[in-house]
Amino acid sequence: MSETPKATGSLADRITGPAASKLDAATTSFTPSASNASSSWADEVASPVGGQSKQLGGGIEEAQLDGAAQPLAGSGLHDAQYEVEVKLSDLQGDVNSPLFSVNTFEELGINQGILQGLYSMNFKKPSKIQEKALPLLLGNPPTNMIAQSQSGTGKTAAFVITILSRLDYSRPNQPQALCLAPSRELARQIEGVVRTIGQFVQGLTVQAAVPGAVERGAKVQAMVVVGTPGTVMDLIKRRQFDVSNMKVLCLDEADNMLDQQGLGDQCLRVKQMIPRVDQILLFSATFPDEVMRYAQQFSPGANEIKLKRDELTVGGIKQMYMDCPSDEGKYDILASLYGLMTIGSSIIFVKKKDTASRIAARLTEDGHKVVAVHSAFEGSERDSIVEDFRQGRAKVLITTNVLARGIDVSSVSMVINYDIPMKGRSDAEPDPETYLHRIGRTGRFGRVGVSISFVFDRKSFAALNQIAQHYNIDLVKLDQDDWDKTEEIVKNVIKSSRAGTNLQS
Amino acid sequence: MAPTSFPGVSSSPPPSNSNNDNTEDKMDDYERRWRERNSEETHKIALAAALARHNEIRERALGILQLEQLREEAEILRQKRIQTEERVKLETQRAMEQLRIREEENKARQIPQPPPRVPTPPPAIPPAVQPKQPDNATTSASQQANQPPPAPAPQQPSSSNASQTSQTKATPQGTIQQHLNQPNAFQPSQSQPIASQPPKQQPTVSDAIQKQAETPANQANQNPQLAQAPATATTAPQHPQNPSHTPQAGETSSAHTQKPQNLHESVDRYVTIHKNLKEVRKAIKERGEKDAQFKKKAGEMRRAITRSVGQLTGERGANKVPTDTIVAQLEASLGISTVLEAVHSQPYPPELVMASKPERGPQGTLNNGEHMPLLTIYLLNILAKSAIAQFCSEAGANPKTADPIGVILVSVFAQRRFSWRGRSLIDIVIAKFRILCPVLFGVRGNDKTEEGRAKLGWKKDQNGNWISEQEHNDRMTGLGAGYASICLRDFSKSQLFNPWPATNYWFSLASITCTRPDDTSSTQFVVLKAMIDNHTAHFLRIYGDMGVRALHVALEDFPHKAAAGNVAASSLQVLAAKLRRDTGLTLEVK
Repeated sequence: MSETPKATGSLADRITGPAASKLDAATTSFTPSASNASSSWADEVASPVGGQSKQLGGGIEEAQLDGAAQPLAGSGLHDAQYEVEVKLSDLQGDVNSPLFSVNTFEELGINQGILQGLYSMNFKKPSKIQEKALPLLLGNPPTNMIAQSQSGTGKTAAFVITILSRLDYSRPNQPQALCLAPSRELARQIEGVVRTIGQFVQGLTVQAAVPGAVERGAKVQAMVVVGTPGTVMDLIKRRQFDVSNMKVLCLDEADNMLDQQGLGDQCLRVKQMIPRVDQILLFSATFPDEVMRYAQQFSPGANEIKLKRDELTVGGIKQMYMDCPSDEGKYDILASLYGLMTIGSSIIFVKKKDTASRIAARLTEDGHKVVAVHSAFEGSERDSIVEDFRQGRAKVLITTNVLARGIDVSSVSMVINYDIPMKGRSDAEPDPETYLHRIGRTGRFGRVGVSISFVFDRKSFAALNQIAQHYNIDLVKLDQDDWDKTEEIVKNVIKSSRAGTNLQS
Repeated sequence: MAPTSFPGVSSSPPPSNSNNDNTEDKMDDYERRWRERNSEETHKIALAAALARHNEIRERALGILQLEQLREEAEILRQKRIQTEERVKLETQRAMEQLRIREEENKARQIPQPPPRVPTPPPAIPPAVQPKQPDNATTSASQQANQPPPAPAPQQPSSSNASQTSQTKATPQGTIQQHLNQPNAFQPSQSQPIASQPPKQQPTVSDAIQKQAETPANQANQNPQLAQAPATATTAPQHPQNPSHTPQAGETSSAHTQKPQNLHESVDRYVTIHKNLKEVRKAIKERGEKDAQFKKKAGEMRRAITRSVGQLTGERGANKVPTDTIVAQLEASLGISTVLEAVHSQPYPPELVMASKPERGPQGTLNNGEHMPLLTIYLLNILAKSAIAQFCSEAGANPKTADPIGVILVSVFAQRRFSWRGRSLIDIVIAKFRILCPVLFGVRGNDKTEEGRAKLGWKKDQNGNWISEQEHNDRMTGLGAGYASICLRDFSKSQLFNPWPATNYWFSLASITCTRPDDTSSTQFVVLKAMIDNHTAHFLRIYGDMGVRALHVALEDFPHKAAAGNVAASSLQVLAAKLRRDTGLTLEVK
């Protein structure tokens, strides 16, 4: 227990301390770019090949400028020198933002193939968690890590980069890294992230170990295995999965994996079946205290990156609630929400499966492409439904808590809590963790997203109120009487402080 | 051993300690030395002497070496200085030459173009865009050929209109050339009074609308037109003001042949259009404040459009419901499908939101009058607005979602029902791109300066701070992808004419890649990547080998212009690698 205060102390160090000292580093790294003209000149002179193609390009440029109207020369030769440089604070943004960083991926010493993968995913700079965690994760000798960071701030990419950096590429058929996730959808998603980040890494092999994915008797023959604990445990038991050469074991949504009785047991058994592993990584957006202790046992001697409770919500997610006249009235209100704002994809969380089906019918009538996922669907069916949503073939996903965690579809811009998340016996108390994970499906990587929670009676109102108090957030009330007014409120809420800046207040 | 010291081979005479006899002494000395010639002492002394000598020589050598090094360094520095001088000189020369070129081009632009051109469209490659005027004879001829019943229009068909009709048949080049000219072909309507009305009556939108709303006399004046605008849409135009129109047509065409405008001005025209559109929104809002029923109806239509744009997906045939909804709202505003009192709105002169004013189309052209309903313009604006918002947020996160939005946008704006005098109102959309993503129009700026950011369309938040780099990049990605999805539409099998053909894409591509190294910005790289990624198939279908060459310039050459370590430029290069891997498209030039 004495470690907890120490851990928070080190958190403060890591999160606020270096940022201040980094300002200098940024100044120095910033100045050279001012004189980029000469450096690029040097480049051209240095490589004759480049110079040649340059000339060719020049020919085309001339051809372009020859016939076509001259492009608007907003920048003459004249005005360039007299411009005022952007304030350093603006340039770097808010130091407190979870996406703030001054480093580049290159500076973190990530290998070229992985870098290309990151660039092709439109990643430009590491997020704060990546900037803090990657030097620790990639350092030698490998050290365990327990890392907490807000939803949508790049945790998955951080551990995938680590895994890809640790592999021995001369042994493509030897499992070397295992990543566990609480649901098959999430495992599939992580598998996808490994493939995307590793798309330019030669000889990488990835395999999913989820129910139905590995045939009986077939060997698991990929360097990276991503799976759910139960299936992985079975595969190891049946000797289909050779775990004698494990370098990294990673648990995503670690609090969920270690907390739930079933999953917690399974994870521990998996760990015990692995004879030796260099590095154990635990990642999640939430780490309740009681799970933290267990996590420290599971991943001994780990570096820890933690957040305070009121830092947990992401500023880009605008949280509102809708006061509905009755449980039944929610259908129409839900349908009217679309049109109030620009919505890419959206997720609606409900408690019961039959509510899901009824909402699906209502929204389909309105012209939406809707899919619903809940436990009534079978494994591979669920995979293809989620894939439809991920690819944008369907833009509304209605689901129960199975998908509350981890699912990352970058274009999701609205999350609806059609029912307030509850936990405990007969749903007696509100469930703030699930609320946080649910709304974390939007506002991914610094984008703006909206969450709207529906309340209609005293119980639901009180529950939402408790959740708001738990995280110390203000929820904006929406009205269903005057949609013009509601539209305006929503517009203003979305406009108000942009992503990541809420941590100032 | 005796305490005396013994000289080595080269040492001075030793001090004797015993005798006075000199020769004996010498003999003694010699013998002693002979005796001790192999003793350890002697060797040590000899070695010490050798070491001293060695050190002396070594130090001298070191000194010489240092001098030599200094000399060499000086020489290198001198060479460097010469090189630098040379470079500065050359760069200055280059800059001066460029200035001169620019001046010459400016001069060239002032030269009036000779009006007619050879009557057959040249089979030149598409990119050869030339600011020539469309030829009256050609286009009207082809227009006649295109329309089986040769309707002798009361008024002379305008060049633009005619060429629009001819476009259905014309080659891509024809489309391109004609279209590029479109924005420039006419005087900006701002400076041009509407033929049918006193010049002072409609300087700006708000004026027009306010006057209509406030002065009853004026309203009475306008009312016939209000009712007429929808009517003209369905029936043949029998406009009472036709006669007064003809002289004006002549005026304009002579005006545009005399004074071709350069792109600079027409690009600026979009800024004006953007302002006018704000006035349109204000006018609708003001009307809503007075008329609750109108407000409710307009709000519902607006939300229906926003919702429908949000529903679009990339699946084939999946967008029927949302498309129908959008079209239904627009039709309702025109008064075609409903006769709802509430949706009738003031008339509005569409040329205020167009880059140039089209002449009246031939008989049978829809919306051939002086006005269109304000509400229609408003809803087209809302459609453009929600599409752009969708680009910024959704396509910024996932650029693939831009395409279906672009398809619907272009297909709605291409419809004759929603065009004015046969010309699409797509300038409403383009004006928004002009404001939000100026890079597409050749505007350049420095990401790291206040002015530069303002020029690049870098948004500020409510507190007046620049939005973060990440957000900016997202927006630019979405807008780049969105612009490409509008430009690269294939109209070869369509009856309609392409309101914003692919030459505009080429133009943006060219004006970004032609940027001088020190004018490049990350924003350009981001936009360029978004424009190209996922759109190469469309682009190459239209431009073929020339497209491959253009991609080479954009993906291989242009990133080299960036400062070393520019991540946005690197991801452009990664895009080239990805194309090579996924499609086998190699951009290297042999």
